[in-house]
Order: sequence, then structure tokens, then C-alpha cells
Amino acid sequence: MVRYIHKFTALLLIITGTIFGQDRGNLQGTVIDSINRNPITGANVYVQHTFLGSATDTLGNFSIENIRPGTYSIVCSVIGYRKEVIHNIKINKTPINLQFDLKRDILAIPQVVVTATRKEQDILESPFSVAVIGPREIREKSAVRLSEVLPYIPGVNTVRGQLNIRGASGYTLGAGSRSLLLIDGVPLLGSAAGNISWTIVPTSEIERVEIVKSAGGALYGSSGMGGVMNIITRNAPLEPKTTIRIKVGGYSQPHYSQWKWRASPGYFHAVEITHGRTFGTHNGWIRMQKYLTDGYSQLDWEDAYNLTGKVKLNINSKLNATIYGNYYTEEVGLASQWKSAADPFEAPLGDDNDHSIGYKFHANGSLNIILAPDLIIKIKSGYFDVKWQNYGRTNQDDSREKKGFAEVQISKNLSDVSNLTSGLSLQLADINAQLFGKHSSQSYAGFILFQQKLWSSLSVSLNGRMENFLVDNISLDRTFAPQFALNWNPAAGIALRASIGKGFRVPTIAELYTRSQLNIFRVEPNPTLRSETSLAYEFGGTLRSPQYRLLSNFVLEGALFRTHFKNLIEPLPDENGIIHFENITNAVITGAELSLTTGIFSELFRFTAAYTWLDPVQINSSGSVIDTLSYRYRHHIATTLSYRWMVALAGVEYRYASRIEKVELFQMNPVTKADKRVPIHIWNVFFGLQWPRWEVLFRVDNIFQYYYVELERNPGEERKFSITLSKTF
Amino acid sequence: MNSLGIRIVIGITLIYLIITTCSIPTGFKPISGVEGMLTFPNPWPDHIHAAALVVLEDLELEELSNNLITYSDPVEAGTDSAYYFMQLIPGRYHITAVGLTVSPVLFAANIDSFLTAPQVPLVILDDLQTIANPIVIQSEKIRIYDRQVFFR
Repeated sequence: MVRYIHKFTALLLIITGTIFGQDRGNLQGTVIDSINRNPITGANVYVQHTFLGSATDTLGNFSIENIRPGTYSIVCSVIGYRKEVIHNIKINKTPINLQFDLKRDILAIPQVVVTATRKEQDILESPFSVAVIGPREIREKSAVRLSEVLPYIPGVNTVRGQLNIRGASGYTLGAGSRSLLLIDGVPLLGSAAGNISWTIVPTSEIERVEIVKSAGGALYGSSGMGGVMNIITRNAPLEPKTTIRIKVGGYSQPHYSQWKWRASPGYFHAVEITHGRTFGTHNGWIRMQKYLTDGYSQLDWEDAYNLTGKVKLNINSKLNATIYGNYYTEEVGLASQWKSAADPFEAPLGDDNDHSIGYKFHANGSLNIILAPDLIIKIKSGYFDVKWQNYGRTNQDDSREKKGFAEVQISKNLSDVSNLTSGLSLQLADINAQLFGKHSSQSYAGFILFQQKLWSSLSVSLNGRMENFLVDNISLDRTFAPQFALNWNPAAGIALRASIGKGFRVPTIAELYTRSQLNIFRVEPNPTLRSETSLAYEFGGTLRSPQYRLLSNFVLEGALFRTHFKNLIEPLPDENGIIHFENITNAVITGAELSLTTGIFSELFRFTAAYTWLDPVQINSSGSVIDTLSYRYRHHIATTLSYRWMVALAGVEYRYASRIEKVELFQMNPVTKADKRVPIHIWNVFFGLQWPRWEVLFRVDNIFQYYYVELERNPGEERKFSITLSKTF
Repeated sequence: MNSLGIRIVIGITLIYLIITTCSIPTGFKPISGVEGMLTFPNPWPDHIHAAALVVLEDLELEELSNNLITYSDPVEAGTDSAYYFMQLIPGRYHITAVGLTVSPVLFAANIDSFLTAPQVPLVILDDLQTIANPIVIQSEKIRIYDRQVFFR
């Protein structure tokens, strides 16, 4: 294996070391804040319709070299400011000097993404569908957990906290996710179960979230076969800043007196203090959070502390490093199901005190080295340590997991119109758990991404990833995942894209070895599980217009997609009701999504609407449909209408999800076939005031007290009221 | 913004609110049924694998398959007490405790064939007098009905 890695590395260096020489021009300049004239660090400046670009250093300077002579548009973009474009810049042998005076706009929609092709790229030039959650969405939701925002993003959903991108994951008891979560590009999945830990995401310190919805494993490997979510945390501000944010609220008592289970309504609060500052050319922030909730049901309570910090070291204009760390400790109720349909918010008799205590520690670091203007090396590493212990009537499981991650990535512009990114990735995990046993896992991967612009408006991407997995030092699988994609920009603001890619996912240790019981759930191991593979197709388009009559920042997006899975791993109860993870031979998810986002009357109003349709089916070898896949919504709609005038804001949100057609985990009464699944209709309202240093937001979620189950025998959230106060010093 | 603009804004807002708030559904609602504690003061006999309550439409025990409305989650042999709940539409019912002489999972998986078989793998654990007293279930109400089950 080591021999192959050496050969592969040598090949990458030879390929990426290729230099194309010609008479080229250079571009340099500065990016400054239009109000206080301070330099802006980390702004992305790039030559439109090429792969040439640069980021500003701590003095706001940028330099782009080796540009082929011609006339270009130069784009400058950074979070918190409006994107600026300078057109008709003639590049020749004479160096050009530019200055961008950026106007502040804390609600600007991010337009540069980094996740889809592992490098900064205009979202319209991305060959894959990417949804971006910006600061506006997170602030309006006043979310403590990022999972509160996700159901309002087209093509994205959660089933009891489990991330579903285009229905890929369904619900697997948290044992394996087909959607990968990254924080600043470093995987954040638990090493044993492969489930997502929303609790350790510092929601208030997120710059943006990028969700690559196109399926496949070529970019990020096994866990990313159903899509990738990358959380990009913000850097510290130039001036020292301390923010105190307090969110307090309560849950309504159930609308029906029969369901009342406590004397007074449940209460919750989250208190956060963040301080950020620069020190010399470096900057950093630290954040402390305390979250306490009684929960809307008897075992939904939580008591948690979270400490997060990030330091960015700008060593020189060619070298910077980032260190990020998070420590989270929690005590939570251990919910499995309701007492009965007659008492949906109460715990099963005798389970009232079931709870779990644990901690999570996550640290990652990255080093960016600009060897030449067109040659960048990124080195990333991460460490993940999780420990928890259940204290339940029927369950006393515990687990300790440690995971290490390292990645080296080389990105080289072969010419103005072609780019090669390649790298090596390594993950090591060590698990010692009562419910899994003692196991270790390793994965080694090499990846390569090649992008070529055939014409200024058409680009082609060829990607591939080779990955080798070992569990307990025995090779579980060795897979190559190729991907091919096209992006065409026929006119300004219009993008069409198509892609086809193979994906794969090896079973997690939890899916292979779990032996556990929680209340009525009994899970037995299945060490014979095989890897699942997928072949995904997508065709999509985007129309963006900065201004059209009364509309502004208008974005219309659509996509058609189809993923064919082989050996899909799903939790299935056997004839004795015992759950095993099993390979379903063939399954197909076909779908479509359409979304519209627009400002109305110069952003006085902002309207978003998203519709996602899924047809998730199990098929036989001849392609005939034999069943529906469980835990997928066939129809999903999310809309928001918000209003902003001066410092005031207000809005209405509505979310609809059709009734889940098939469930697996709970056995229904065979005589009555009693079932509480219903479609989901949720309305939320919010209003508030925002000044530069003060903010107050009042929200009512589930205002009409709609009762539903996401997972059978588990009610959805009750109506809740909250007020969030934020003060910056 | 001119008056036309204001009117358009108000119009869009109203249309949006009307569309989204018309005929607001309420989701699932309270149900009617019976719940309580099943207690087993005596030792379990060897031939009984599990016990449950069954709800019958009338007292004709010989035609169980025609009379059976529902049954509670079976309680495994050896259990001292267990909570049960059964959803029922409003009406009058007879409730009796039964013992399963086969595994409860096997029974649930093959209930249709078991109920029509000449020899149903059930033993009635209550006397006829207990069964004869019907319980009345009212709309959106849960009747509390604790039962002690004695193995004979």
C-alpha cells in the first residue's frame, strides 16, 4: 500500500509541477472597507471565467500573476460585504493596479464556495448543486442548533436530527450517515457510528454553510456519497469585539388537556459570550455557551456547556495557519419512544430518569502554503474524542471513540483555464464501546480533481478518489469513485450543470457490530454487511439577476436528480422484531427540486420558496418497484417571507412535509394497524429590531401547535416562544 | 415607495398569509382507549409464554377471530407488572386477560392464521363474570383500567 502511495504522490507532483510559460500579465491591488478605509483580510479576488484568483493578506493586498493577455472582469467577494465586479480590465505585459472599495452588507448572500471543487469558486461556476446558508438565515432562525435551520433549505431535511440530503440517509438510529459533515473542511462524523453531532457546531460563529447536494464519493469519499455539508467558521474581526447573546423561552403546554404532563410549561435558555480580536497580524476568537432546556417532552431535556475557539495565524503573505478547538459536555434525557399515543409527551413507565452523560472534544488545524501564485498546498489535520455513558432502565451502554484525520492537498493552475487539485487523506479510529466491542478502523485515500474550461463559458470537471478501508486491520473494501461534470454559463447570471458520479460507503462499526437494547429496540450485529455503492446523475440550472423590475438579488434554481444504490444499508427488523443492518439489493431515489429567492422593493421584503420531490423506491433486479424506502418525505415545501425596514424586521415561515410513507423500526399493532403518521405543517413567525451593536428577536415556532411525528412514537416539537438579546461591545 | 408600491406590498402579504393560513390543520389529536397496569401476583406457569389483554366486541369466546378488536402489547413470562395501552373507538367492549402458549413474536407474525385455526394458542385467564362486565370508552378519553391477572 505504501509503495502505491509513493507512486501516486510522485505522479501528482509531476503532473502538478507542469508549468506553462507565455507572455503573461500581472494584476495586483488592495481591498478596503469603503467606510473606515481599513484593509480587508481574506477577501477573494479572482478573474472571472478563469481559475486565476487570490486572497488578500492582512494589509488587504492581493496579487494575481501569469494572466493571459485579454480583457477580463475582476471579481472581489468576502462575507459581510457586497460583491464588487470591475469590468473591462485589459491585461497585457504592463502590471495593473486595482482598488476595491467594498460596501458593508452583513446579510450579503455568499457567492463564492469552496466545498464543491475543494477551492474557491463562484457559485455559478460550480459543476455541482450547492446550497449556501448565509448569516441571514442563521440570525433569523436564532438557532442554537444548526439542525433547526436545515429543514428550510431546498433538498435538505432532517429526520429526528439525522441529516438527509435529497433523501439519501433516511433514518438509521444514528448508526450511519450518507451525508458528510465537515467543519472548516475537516470531517466531523463520529468514528464508530458515523452520525452527525450537531451539538458541537458553534452556530453563532458560522460564516456560512455550504451543502454540496450532488451525490457521489469522488470529492470526499465514503460518508459523502449522499452529499457534503461544510460549516465554515468565521475569522475574528479586525477590532476587538465581545458579544453577549442570551436566548430565553418556553414551550406551550399541550393544546389538549389529556396530554398535559407537567404542572408548568417547559423552559429553556442559551447564554453565549464570544470575544474576538487581532493580535499583531493574527486573530482569534473564543466562545462559551451554556444551554439548558426542560424539553418539550419528558426526556427531551438537556444541560450542556460548550467551549470553542479559533486562532488564525497570518505568518506572512504566503503562509497562514488555523487552529480550531471545541469541548462540549452534556447531560441529556435518553428518549426512545413515547409512553403511548394517549400520552405522547411522556416517557415509558419506569424510563422517566433515563439519561446519558458524555463529552466531545474536537480539534483541527490547517496550514495553507502559497508556493507560487498558482500553486497552493493545504495541510489539514483533526482529532476527535467522544465519550458517553447511558443510565437507562433497559440500557447502560457506554462508548469511547478517538479519531485522527490528516490530509495534504495540492492545487495547481496548469493554465488560465485549467486547474488540478490532488491529495492524500488518512483517517484512523479507535473505538472501545460496550455496544460495539473494541475495534479499530483505518482509511487511506488519494483524490484528484481536474477542471478545464473548454470555452470561457463551458467547463468540464473530471474527479476521482481511490480509498482503502480496513477494520481491525483487515481490508473491508477498496474502491475507486470517478465523477464527471459539466458547467455551462450561456449568459451572465445563468448556469447549467450536469454530473454523473459513483459513490460508495463502507458500513460503520456501529452497523457491523452493535449489540444493544433500549426500551423495545433490540439491535443485533451483522458483520457480513458489504459496502454500498451508488451511481448518481444530476442536471440543474441557476438563474441569478441582481435587479429585475421590483425584484433584487433574484435567484431561481432547479435540479433533476437520480441515484441508483446497490447494497443500500438499512436497519430492518427481522421476524422476531430484532433489528439488523442489512444490505437492500437495489434502490433508486429520483427527485426534483425548485427554489426561488428574491428581494422585493429593494430588499424591503425577501421571499424564499423551495419545493423538493422525491421518489425513493426499492427495486428488483429487473428494475420493477417492489417497495418504498422508509423515512423519506415525498414532498417537501419551505417558504419564508421576511420584511426589513430601517432597524425593524419581521417574517413568516411555513414548512410542509408529506406523510412519511413507510416506517420500519416500530411494530404496529397487527390488529388495529394504529399509526400516528401525518403530514407536517409548521408555521413560525418572528419580529425584531437590529442595530449595529444591539439586536432583539422574538420568535414563535410552530405557532398553531401542530402535532406530528417525525419518527413513529416520537412527537415533533411543541409550540415554543423565544426572545434573543444580543449586545456587542 | 409610491402608493402603488405600498398597495402591491400589502397585496402580496395578504395573499401569502391567506395561502398559508387557510384551513390550518391540527395534526394528530387525542385518542380514546384504555390504559393501566397489568400485575401478576402469582408465579407464571411454564406453558404460558406471555400474557396480554384482548378487547372483544361481544362475549362469544368461541369465535375469537370475529370478535377480536385489538390486544395489548404482550407481557413476557416472569414479569411482575407492566403498563398497557390500547386505542379504541368510543363504544362498549369486553376485556379479558389471555395467556399465549406460543412465543408472542410468533403469534404477532402469524396472527391471521392462528385466529382462524381450530386450536387457538390462547388460554383465557379471567372468569366469565369479569369478562361479562363491559367497559365504556368515550370520545377522546382514556379509560384507566388496572388489572390483576391470576393464573389458574
